[in-house]
Amino acid sequence: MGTRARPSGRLWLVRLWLQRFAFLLLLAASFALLALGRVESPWAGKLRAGLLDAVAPIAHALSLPGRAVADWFGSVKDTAQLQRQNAELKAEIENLKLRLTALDELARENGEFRKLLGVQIHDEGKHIAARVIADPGGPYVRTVLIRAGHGDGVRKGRAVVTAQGLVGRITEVGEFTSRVMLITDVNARTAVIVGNTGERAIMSGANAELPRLLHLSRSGAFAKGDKVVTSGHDGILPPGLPVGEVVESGPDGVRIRPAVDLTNLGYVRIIDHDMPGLLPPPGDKTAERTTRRRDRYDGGSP
Amino acid sequence: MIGAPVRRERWYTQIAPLATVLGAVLLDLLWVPVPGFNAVAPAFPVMAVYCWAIWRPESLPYTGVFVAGLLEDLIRGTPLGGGALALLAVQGFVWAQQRLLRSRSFEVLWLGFAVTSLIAAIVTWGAVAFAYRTALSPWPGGMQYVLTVATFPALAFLLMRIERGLPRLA
Repeated sequence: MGTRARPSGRLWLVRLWLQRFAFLLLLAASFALLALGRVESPWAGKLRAGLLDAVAPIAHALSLPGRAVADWFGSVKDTAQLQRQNAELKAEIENLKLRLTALDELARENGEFRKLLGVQIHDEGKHIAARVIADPGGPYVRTVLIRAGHGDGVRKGRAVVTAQGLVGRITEVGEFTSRVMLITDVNARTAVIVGNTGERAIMSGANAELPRLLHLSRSGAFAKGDKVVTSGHDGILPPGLPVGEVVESGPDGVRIRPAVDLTNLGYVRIIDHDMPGLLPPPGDKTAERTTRRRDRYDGGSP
Repeated sequence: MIGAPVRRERWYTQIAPLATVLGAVLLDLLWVPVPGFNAVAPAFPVMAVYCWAIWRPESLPYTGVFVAGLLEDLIRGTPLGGGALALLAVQGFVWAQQRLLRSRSFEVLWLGFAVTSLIAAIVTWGAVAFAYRTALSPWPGGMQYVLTVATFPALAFLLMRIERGLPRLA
């Protein structure tokens, strides 16, 4: 394709054919990678995880100007609303004090009932806080990069939440950086319970603002505003995490508005939670280390 | 006999096109405080490959474009190979239409880009659909296409300044 100092005659023709051959070879390689990508290969996962760490400083630097602008607008907005918010918070504190007293009593009662029934409570895990540094997904992927990785105890498959509810789960883990697949991604599947009925379903992302519910036995029987929480039946996410609420329920299906504003994520928390009875995937060194540590604390084998 | 002064080829002349393509790929990581913007953010790598494939094709090797496409996939978390396929399609199309696009007015350049980026958008959508085994809604890709074509003059102007600053190859 070059126009630079063309060698004359046969040499130029050979060069041209070599270039065409290289182009076709690279096109074939791209197709091959796409086809291979359908099979989950460990080398691609390692490559992606390694690259996450490499681009993390650039992503962090590129997020700074945007964050500064967002923080400035946020502070201006907060200042304007300070007085009203103060009054609201005072009222909320009074309400919460009352609810806390009731909750203490319920927790004590619950503990006593559990003792009577002999129910074992599994470890609810610790939370790891992390800052969102980039959302480089594009039109067909909904993911964000966070500044926490293997070194901080993050593992693949962990639930990612904010104070409002479920954000997604970890899909790639580097040493200092991880990728979170949001619940709105087309590949995201979340086992949920809808409303007070206890109806189980699978929530599926659609690369749109509102995910939909699949595999419902009573489609259309939900009211607008019904709460949706994780059921824990997928064996990945802990049960009871707020996911969102029903906004559409009809013959076209049930749509959910996520509890978290996924377009404006600042800080998130990763729940380091082991589902009872599940073994860590082979080769997951962090999981093995954690298991050994827990065994030691529990007086088990070192 | 005194020969004509020869302008020596500088190392940055060779790497500038590929470096700007890789820079455009890294722009995917830019955090813009506008809700939902990153889902439809302009495809800067497509613009960079298009411009350099017209102006300095000899300094933009296919392998470099392929690697830039893979890097884009790795950063975005999209199926590996889709980005490379789209960028190679852009380069291949420009190569086939070189005579039509070279040394023409900016309007022709822009119109050519509208066609080229449409091809890139269709290839990207097809690659993702193939990898996910499902036909996704083309609307987010369509929105991205409109924004890409609309913002092309800004990046093209910047790249044009860079290109004019580089010495011509002997």
